[in-house]
Amino acid sequence: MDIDRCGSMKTILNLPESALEAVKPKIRHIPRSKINEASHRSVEERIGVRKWSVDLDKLIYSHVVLIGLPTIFYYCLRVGGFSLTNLHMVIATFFILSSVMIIVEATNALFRRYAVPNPKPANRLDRLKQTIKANLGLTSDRPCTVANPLPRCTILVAAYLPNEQDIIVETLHHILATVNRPADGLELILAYNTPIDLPIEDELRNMAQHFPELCLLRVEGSRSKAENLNAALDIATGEIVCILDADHHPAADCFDRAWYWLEQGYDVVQGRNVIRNHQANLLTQNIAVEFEANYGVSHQAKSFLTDSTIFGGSNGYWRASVLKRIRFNPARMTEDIDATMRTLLSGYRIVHDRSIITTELAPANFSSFWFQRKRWAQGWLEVSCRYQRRVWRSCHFTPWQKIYWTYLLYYCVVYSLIALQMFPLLLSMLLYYGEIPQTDNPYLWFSTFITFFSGIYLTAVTMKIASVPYPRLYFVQHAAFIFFFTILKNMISVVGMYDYLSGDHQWVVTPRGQQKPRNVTSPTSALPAGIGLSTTKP
Amino acid sequence: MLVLGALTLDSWVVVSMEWISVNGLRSERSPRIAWIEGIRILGVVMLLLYHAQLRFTGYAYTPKPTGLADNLQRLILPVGILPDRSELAHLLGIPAWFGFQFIDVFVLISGFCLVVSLPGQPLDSGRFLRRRLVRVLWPFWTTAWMAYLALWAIASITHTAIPNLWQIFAATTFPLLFSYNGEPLMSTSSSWWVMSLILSFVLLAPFLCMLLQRWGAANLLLASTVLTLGYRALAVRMFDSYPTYVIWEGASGWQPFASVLAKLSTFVLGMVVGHFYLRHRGPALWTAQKALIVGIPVYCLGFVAQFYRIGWIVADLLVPIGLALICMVICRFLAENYQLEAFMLKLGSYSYSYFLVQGLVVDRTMQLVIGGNPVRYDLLLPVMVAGTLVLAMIVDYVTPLLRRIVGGILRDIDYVLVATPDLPRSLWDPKIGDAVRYRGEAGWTVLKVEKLLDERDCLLCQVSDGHRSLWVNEDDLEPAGERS
Repeated sequence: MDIDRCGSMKTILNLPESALEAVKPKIRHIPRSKINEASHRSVEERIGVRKWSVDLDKLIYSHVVLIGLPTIFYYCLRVGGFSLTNLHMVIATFFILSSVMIIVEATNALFRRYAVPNPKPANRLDRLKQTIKANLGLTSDRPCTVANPLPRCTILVAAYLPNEQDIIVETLHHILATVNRPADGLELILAYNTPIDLPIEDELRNMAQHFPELCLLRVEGSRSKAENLNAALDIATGEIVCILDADHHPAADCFDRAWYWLEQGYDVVQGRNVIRNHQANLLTQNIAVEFEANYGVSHQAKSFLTDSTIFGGSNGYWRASVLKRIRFNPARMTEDIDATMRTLLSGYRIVHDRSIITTELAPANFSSFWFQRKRWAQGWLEVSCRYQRRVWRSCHFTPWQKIYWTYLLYYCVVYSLIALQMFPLLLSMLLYYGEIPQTDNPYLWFSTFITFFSGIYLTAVTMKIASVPYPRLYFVQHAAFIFFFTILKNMISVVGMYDYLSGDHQWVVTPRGQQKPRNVTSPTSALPAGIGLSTTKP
Repeated sequence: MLVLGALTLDSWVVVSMEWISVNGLRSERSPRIAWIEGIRILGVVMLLLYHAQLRFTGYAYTPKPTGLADNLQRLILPVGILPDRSELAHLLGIPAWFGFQFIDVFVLISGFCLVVSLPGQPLDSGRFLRRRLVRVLWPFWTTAWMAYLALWAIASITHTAIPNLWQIFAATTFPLLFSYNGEPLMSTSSSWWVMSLILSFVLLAPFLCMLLQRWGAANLLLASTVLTLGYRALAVRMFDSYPTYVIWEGASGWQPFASVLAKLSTFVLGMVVGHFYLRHRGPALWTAQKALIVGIPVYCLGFVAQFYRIGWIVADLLVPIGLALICMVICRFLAENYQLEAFMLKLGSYSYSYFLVQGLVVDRTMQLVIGGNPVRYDLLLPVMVAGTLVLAMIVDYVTPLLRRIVGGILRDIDYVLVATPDLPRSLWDPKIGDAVRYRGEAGWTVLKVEKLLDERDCLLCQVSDGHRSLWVNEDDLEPAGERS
């Protein structure tokens, strides 16, 4: 199968030379004789490597501003005889609100909500038992059946090949070998970009000749996942479109389960992402539990409580007609959350089903983790700033949804800054008294208790509903580290916010597995670039 | 205090004008000239030293219209007043007594930079005023908001006074409580009352640009010089007033000399020099020899004139011409060194914030640390110079962050309260290959167009200027031939 069978993106026509030059140099065709040499060079050599320490100055600066200066300020006020108890209680209130939300979500997530109707046992007693168990969320998993035949489906895999050339073939093989075929057929489009010709492209072409369902689409001039996906949408023929990243391995019944919700009137179904390389190290173990908490608890509860949720960038199943209208915005840091907001604001509905599972690779080193979370923080802030006000005025959101989405957008942004103020408060106390005196304020005690309890409770619930039987040690260490893990994420988030507010929109490709993070340009920058094809999880 | 306030009035005006005409926010800055930046650095440091010396000596010396001999004698007097101060320190401190002269140098180069920053472009007054006001006010608000937190903490720990809530409200909401004499702002920083005059200059700038084009450089310079000389003569002879840097008795005080009219011709002269500079002519391109041959005598004339009442009419017109020419020669020489050139360009950008902060730093350092101790004064003088620079950098760093946060909050409030939220509507239909302006900047071409759904169909365009390409919303674009 030839690449051109699907049509390449040669939409740049009749342009001035200068304009064309802005795009052309990004594709560097290297001589055939050099390909082997190039393939032996490390990816790092070709596209650069970045370490988290490049942000060290921003980390120090932002925390000096947010912790150091407030510590001195509070200390001065204490010396001046001011009582900061009221301020302390205000901050504690934020902790209580967040903890209550976590507890509500976790409790809600104990109750299952399946994509398929419950089979009714013949026996009355069994039916009663099933009802009770279902209401308590104690029913077990079961295979999915759908009422109407599944229409033709398309899977869009977006990839930035220099970054993902080592894993893409495995992913395509997995999809082609695993996913159930609808009667009208399945189409698999690999939409990729690369600044240089790569040997892997020959292998992909061979593969496409063996698997007619596979269509290769090299998107010339693309610098983002959004551009790749938009190009692929122009040629997609399925009625349902599934979006996956290059490292995602979906389950066989993913379309069957998603189809159930689409038949019910939903326009997008978001599945559950599970970490495949969880055993790599302590970081991946924590991320695995965190993902279970996010996709198994938080998103699920959000969907159940508000009948709306987010599209996380992958393992999302779209009604093709809707996605072809929504499309993706290449100018956004997190094009998936941007698409979520535009989808909801346009009156479409998104549902989360944690029984639709795909596995993915977590960043296995700290630098990758740093840049991934920083980009999420920047993207989340960008989306919050752009869409929060429109949520408040939208006729497509119920009052409850507006409250919940305010909690998800502005509240979460503000919370990460407010929560940090607990440190300068305590440090100033330490400076002033020489110790942190015990308080007899019951409200402060309550906030401390509920904050720690919510973390442990969330971990316990996550352990119960986890899709993978991880070792219990994972959960124990997650519960033990959750405080520090949260602080770490908060620190990264602050740096991300700082970057966003400073107008620095440059970001870094999230490497897969054990790879190191690479220098990548912003989708809106002027540099020749690649893309970061990772999903966005709040 | 009167002198101090008047001095910094001028400095604020000129630095702000310099800032607004050339620098603004760093991201939007016009190309800068190293020797101009060098003069600005020299000027702001000299003004800080002047400010500090006045405070430390209790206004021991200011020029008075009692003749050259008397003033030279009085220049030696501060040693007698402060016997602990060494002879050497006193001699080194003499130039600082005349630091105020850089005020008028700033006025001059403000006019120059205003014209140089708008080469051949027809001036859109609305756009110009909007951008300049934002550039003047945001650093001020940032300084004020940060200063009050700092002052509150300092007052708590040192049990000293802090401006009352009304005064804080006046400063943090300026120009809500617009007052020409700036009384509510002076309790925080004696120089802050001049913000109102800065706004006057901002409002006048587009008008002067229009006159420069309409009347021509020579006619505008002639008219403004006649106007300024006439006004200054009135101020001296009829209003019974005196220059801002003089302690004297007069019926009208120093305020007439703080008016825009008192500085107008100097500003216009700067504009005219800028006008010729764009045509590769004029004093800004003079050789060092020619500049010094003209500059030194003119400066000397102006210097002597300030010691005579009749000389007040022309002193502030002559001094900046001579001083600017001398400084130009020195800074151009220094800027021949690549590292010094980079240094000037870098530090010059902080001059406006430096001015906003310097009064606060000097006042508090004098009050809380130095007291009347000459040793501490000598030791802390360089610390004040460097510390003010650090604080100015922080202000410039924080300003865009605050601007974005506050702007976002205001946009949210507006969107929620507006009767019918109006999503931007397409006014035109960009096509691939169209020549467009991106945020007012010409030279961009549309490479790709994407149609997205965002409650309504909207277009996203990939545009390129031949060097860069980026995705932008259609609202940021306009056809190349049109200006909104």
